[in-house]
Amino acid sequence: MAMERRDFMKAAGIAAAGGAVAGCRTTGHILPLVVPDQRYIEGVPEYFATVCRECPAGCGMRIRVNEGRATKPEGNPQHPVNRGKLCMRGQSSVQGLYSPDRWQAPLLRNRRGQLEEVSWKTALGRLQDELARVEGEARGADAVWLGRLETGSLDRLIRDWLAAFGFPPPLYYEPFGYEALREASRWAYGQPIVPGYRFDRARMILSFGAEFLAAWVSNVQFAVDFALTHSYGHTHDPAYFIAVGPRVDLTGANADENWGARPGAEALLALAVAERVAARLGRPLRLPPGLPAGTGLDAAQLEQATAVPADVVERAAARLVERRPSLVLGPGQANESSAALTAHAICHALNELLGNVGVTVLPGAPHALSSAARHEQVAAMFARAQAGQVRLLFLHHANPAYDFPGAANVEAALARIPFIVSFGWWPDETSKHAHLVLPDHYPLESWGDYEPWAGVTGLMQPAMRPVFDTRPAADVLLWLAAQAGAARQRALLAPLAVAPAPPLDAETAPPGSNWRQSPMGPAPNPDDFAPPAEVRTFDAYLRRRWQLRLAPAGSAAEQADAWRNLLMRGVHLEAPAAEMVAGLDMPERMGPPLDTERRAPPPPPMPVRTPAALPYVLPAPAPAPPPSWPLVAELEGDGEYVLWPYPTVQFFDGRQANRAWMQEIADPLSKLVWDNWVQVHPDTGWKLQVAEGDILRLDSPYGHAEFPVHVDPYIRPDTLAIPLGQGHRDFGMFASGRGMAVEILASPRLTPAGGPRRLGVRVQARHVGKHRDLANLQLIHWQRDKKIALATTLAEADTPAAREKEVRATFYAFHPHPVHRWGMAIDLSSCIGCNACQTACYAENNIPIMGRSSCLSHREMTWLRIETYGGDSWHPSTAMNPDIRFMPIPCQQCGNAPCEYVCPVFAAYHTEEGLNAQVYNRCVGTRYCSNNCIYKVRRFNWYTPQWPKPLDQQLNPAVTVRAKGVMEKCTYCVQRIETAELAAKAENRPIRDGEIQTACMQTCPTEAIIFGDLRDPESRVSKLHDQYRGYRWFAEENTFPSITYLKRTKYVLNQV
Amino acid sequence: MAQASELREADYDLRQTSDDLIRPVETGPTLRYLVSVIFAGLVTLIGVVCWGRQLYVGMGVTGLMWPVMWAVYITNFVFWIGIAHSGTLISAILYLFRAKFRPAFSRSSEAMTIFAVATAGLFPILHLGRAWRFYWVLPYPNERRIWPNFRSPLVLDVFAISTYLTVSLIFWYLGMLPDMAELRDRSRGWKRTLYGVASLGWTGSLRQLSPYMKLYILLAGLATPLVLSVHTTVSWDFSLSLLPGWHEEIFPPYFVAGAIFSGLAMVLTLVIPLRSWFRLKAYITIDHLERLCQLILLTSSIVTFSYATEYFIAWYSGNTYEHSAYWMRAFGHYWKPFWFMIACNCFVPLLFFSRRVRRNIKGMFIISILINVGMWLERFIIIVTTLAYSFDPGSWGIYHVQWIEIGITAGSFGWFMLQFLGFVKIAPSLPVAEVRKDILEARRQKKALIAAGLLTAAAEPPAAPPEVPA
Repeated sequence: MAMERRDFMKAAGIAAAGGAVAGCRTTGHILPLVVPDQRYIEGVPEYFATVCRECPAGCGMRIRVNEGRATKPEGNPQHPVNRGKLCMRGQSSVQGLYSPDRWQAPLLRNRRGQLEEVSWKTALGRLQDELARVEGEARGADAVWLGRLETGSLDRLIRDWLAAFGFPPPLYYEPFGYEALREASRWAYGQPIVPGYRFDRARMILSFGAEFLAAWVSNVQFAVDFALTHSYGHTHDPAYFIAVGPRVDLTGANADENWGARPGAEALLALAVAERVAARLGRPLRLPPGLPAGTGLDAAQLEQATAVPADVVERAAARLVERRPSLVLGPGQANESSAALTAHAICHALNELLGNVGVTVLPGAPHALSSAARHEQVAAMFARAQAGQVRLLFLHHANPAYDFPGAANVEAALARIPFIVSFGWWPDETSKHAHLVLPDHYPLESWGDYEPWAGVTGLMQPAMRPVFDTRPAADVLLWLAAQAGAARQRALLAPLAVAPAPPLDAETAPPGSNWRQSPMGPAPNPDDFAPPAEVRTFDAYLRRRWQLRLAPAGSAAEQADAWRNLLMRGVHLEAPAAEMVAGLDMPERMGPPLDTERRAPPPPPMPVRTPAALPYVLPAPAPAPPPSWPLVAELEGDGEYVLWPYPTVQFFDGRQANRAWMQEIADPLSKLVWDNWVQVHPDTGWKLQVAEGDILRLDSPYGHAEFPVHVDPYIRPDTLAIPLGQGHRDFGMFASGRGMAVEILASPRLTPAGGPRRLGVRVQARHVGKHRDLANLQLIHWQRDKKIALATTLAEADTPAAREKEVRATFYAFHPHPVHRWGMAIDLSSCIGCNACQTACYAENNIPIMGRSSCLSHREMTWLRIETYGGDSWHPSTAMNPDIRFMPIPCQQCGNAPCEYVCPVFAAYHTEEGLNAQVYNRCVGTRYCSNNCIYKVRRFNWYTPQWPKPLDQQLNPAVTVRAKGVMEKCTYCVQRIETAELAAKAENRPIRDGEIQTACMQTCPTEAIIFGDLRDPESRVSKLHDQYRGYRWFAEENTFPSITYLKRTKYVLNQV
Repeated sequence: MAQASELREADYDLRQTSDDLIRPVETGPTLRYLVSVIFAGLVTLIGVVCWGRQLYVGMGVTGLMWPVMWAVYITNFVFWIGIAHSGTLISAILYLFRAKFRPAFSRSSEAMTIFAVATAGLFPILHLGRAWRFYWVLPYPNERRIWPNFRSPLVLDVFAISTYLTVSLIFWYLGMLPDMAELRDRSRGWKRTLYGVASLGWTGSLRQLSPYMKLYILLAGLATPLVLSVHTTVSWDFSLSLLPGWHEEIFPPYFVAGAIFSGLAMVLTLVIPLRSWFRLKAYITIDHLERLCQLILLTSSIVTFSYATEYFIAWYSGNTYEHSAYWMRAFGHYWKPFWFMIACNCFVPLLFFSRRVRRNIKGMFIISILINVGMWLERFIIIVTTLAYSFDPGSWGIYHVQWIEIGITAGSFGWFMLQFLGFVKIAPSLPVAEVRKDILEARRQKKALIAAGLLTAAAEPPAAPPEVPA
């Protein structure tokens, strides 16, 4: 095909701007941009607002696009969920986009039973045939849509499509489905919902296992809110946080008190707390019928049953009464057990008793997870499949064959389904059974919307042209409907004829806003209107739907304007979100002024609003009899140890396991990489005669598996903990072969609430005489008398007593730094150890991935590491305060740097602005700088770095890719500093404080990292430098670092 | 006793002496020699192949890691530089002190110096991440107008070592001039031409001898401070850093003593086979070796004292980082090499207090090998344990040696051996002229003693050259 110059320019301009790309097909050619589009300036990145779809939390994202390639995800500051922040999973979304394992074209199973690449025409024709056949057999009721959680337009489209073809409604399968929480909410608030939470208003938090800083509901949002209420950097009256669980996890590591409770005793413990609170308040506790109003245990019995001393429970109750409003959270993913429903119900009751409902617990703003299918429904579907009653299965980014309890049965059931269509991105354990694969666009290539909390909708737009020959699943659905006749197409496009929205709800909407009630009422009769002819693709569907919604009565130009503005902002707020977002600080901002309290005063208790009209379609109610209310979890098997499978911040439910960053960035607590392991208490290790890396065979009633041992004291001796999300069998180059999955041991029985019994088995353990070295990136976790991660008490934090003695004397003059001296302040009281900064640094600075064998010899390349320090030992019965401290360590950019003077060739040198720059091209690789760096922040390129294609497309063009044999290091994202300086120069103004955001600072959910100019006495970072609890790490070595660490604040200091 | 043995030299036939000393150069290679050359060549080749792989793949083929970014290569570097030091010490300092046993070792130890420096000099290049850019360390005019960083100890190293190499080379060559002339006179054909050029027209006349002796003593005087300065500079590679375990004022004298200690042991290791293979036992006598053993005993005690000082200061400073660095050095992951090193360097040499050991060739040889191993380990311990256990415990890490590094280390020994084997076939391993001068001197002394009636001519049996060539 001959391409005219003008056509080419149009195409190139469109591709570069990233607009209107749906429907484009990649040609596989790269064409030079001879005369670029007017808006497009080569070398200047563009940003597109979209939504992070890595988990159901639905954070707002801004994707940086360099020359048509998405290179760096950042949070959208205007999105109320994450307010500009992202977790490490969100940061890794670009690695999903460029995953080398992605399907690159449609696949069809051939006669030999193998998946074979075919054209889209063939693939779609095959699907049409199959649909016709199903219709011919009149088995539409046996077609199943099993997909990940969708809301908004795509949800609507899927439902309409399924209905148009006579198929049952979709099953949205989420491995973390919160069944117990939802069932408890049904009792408490009348609807089976995941209620909204406002951590920032809580003055006390009591969590019976919810991993809200790692993987629970909306971890970035909760981390942001948690910091607002719990970090001394944000409030001088930090909330008191008690975490309950047999193991100190990432969330528990940030607690002020850890109760090493017996696993499964959460409900009992919650009831013990609740009855004490009720007694103190003198008000009755409203409990579900069938539950006793108290434990009926005396102090000794309580301690016997829960392993928590009664006086500790009493003290917590007193604190709860004293520190209101508070927030009581039930079990999380790890202890989703047969008693989790009871525990959640008691927590709901406790929140009600303490007046938290409407303040910190918002049933009026439920989460999208409320509409996920219960495990029980999915299990029923698989039972039907096993019986041959499922004719057709649509898989949409769901992988039950990996993570559904009793996954072996799932595979057998899948094998019995005659036709499976997968709208997937890449091969996984489930889609390997597919007969037809129609690869979907990755979310970063897709149009869409997602409504994580009722009333908060994020808009998705493609950041770039698709990497591979993929098509959006929604486009396929629209096409199939159009092919199947006008009636079906009309049914599908019915929502585009929605009547004008009702007027503003004056009570809930803030004045002056354009919020309106959700227009998602019942659709009018589809026969009343003709489908708009142009709606052939999902982007047109979405645009039309939103234009109608934003400006129902407006002209076409107004509608287009509204739509464009919405896309630019990336988020749309409506009335149900009012409570959720009230008082949140969402515009582009740098953080609070130092002298004010960030935490808004708690509002007066509001009338409890139960959700009236939800934007979500809730799953069919459980047909089960009224649930029983067990107080203690049932543990199957007669093993000696309780199995504790827990979610991690990096792997979530396992869907992010095939990301090199997730594998290589150290687990926050164990610091292990590239492996799966079982965490064993040292006493238990001694008893079982196993050391680090020895293989332990675990036998549960349902299976056996082998895991290498990680000895770590922060666990009960009777518990063995294994992270979820690893041990994939067929999930791509990075995830496969990483040990076994803990699901093998899990019980296939479900909880009374219809959820999985993650905590439900006891296991036997024995050493099988094998060994596997674990790659551990931090060998020593205690600091003894070394002054590294320091802490102070709350009482002393703002007094001279918190100040470290610092002597600074030198023989020579210090560097003058005439204009700027860039510096940082890192608040250890805010840092929760979530690794987001580290992942952002990997994404921004083209840090190579080294793999397991290199990590075994500590050759990871990270420029920013987080060291975790804890006490020497921790035992649930003795110590309530584990005092874990997270220490993010980027280069300290010393004013008197040890690395600089030893470099023979001036590759390491001091810039005028105070950076310890590294000239990669000048480096000869003596490595002396690393040896002499007392912070050990320099990394050496042991090999030529490699990125499996197309992962190399993610590389940031503003940062050099380093060659083998040179040293590399953090330079405070010098490329961002340069960009800001140029912008300031062009506008002839000084650089504003906060204008430069390093990648780590930009994404830090708790704002623990603050960057700025130390020469400017008014800058935020300068003020933090002068705080009493600020200290310069190893200042006594006279390195004059430009980073000030602010001591972690504790209620009580214990021995380190 | 020593005097008696020196007097015995008086009975050596001067011509016989020349023949004995020059024979290894003039005769063709023996089978044993050829085997040695092939062996050394193969070992060198292994090193070259290993280096090739390291250049091609990257430094990842070594065991180096974060935070231990220097290990075996720098150990080898310091070790070989240490070896190099004794050469000049023996040659120059003993010359200045007029030590009688000097000629027995001077030539081979000077050669050892040159070859050890030539071996040591490879390592700073070889350990670079980008070895092909090594010349950036040198100050040369270039289009980028960048000079090396003169504050860096590594640049100081370059100057110290190249100066040392230059002076040693001149000193060595100057000492060889008369021998070259003798070789010229004894050879024919192209060899005569070559030796003729090399001898720079030396005739041995008084007119040449007088300035020659002055220059020689001047160079000896110049080389002596270099012995101290070079290893001081090498020790700055460590002591100018900040790390506990490196940042120590005691390092310069400690390193110099250690270098002399290891150098003396290396001389023993080389000379013992040399004197037996090339039938030089008459010229390198057991008395000479005993002197060397006494020097080893002295330097060993200096080294032991330095270790004790290091530990005392680490404790006395009250600095927690020093505490942990030294504690982990002795009781951390590397406790085995540490205590083996202590045994080799501090306790094994104490055996030399016994005269029987000092005069036992086999015992001496084994001890010299142990000291070599111990001194190599000393550098390894200083480098690796310091890096492995520096300030921040979160950055601690354990280094393991990899095969490539062992190959290159072996290659360096092969390379050193190869050079030495070549040398013994090109120049006499003992300074012929000086040995003959000492014999003449001894004869004059003997005559004087007889004349004074202190010694009767008959009292000493007429000594035949101890080893008559077959």
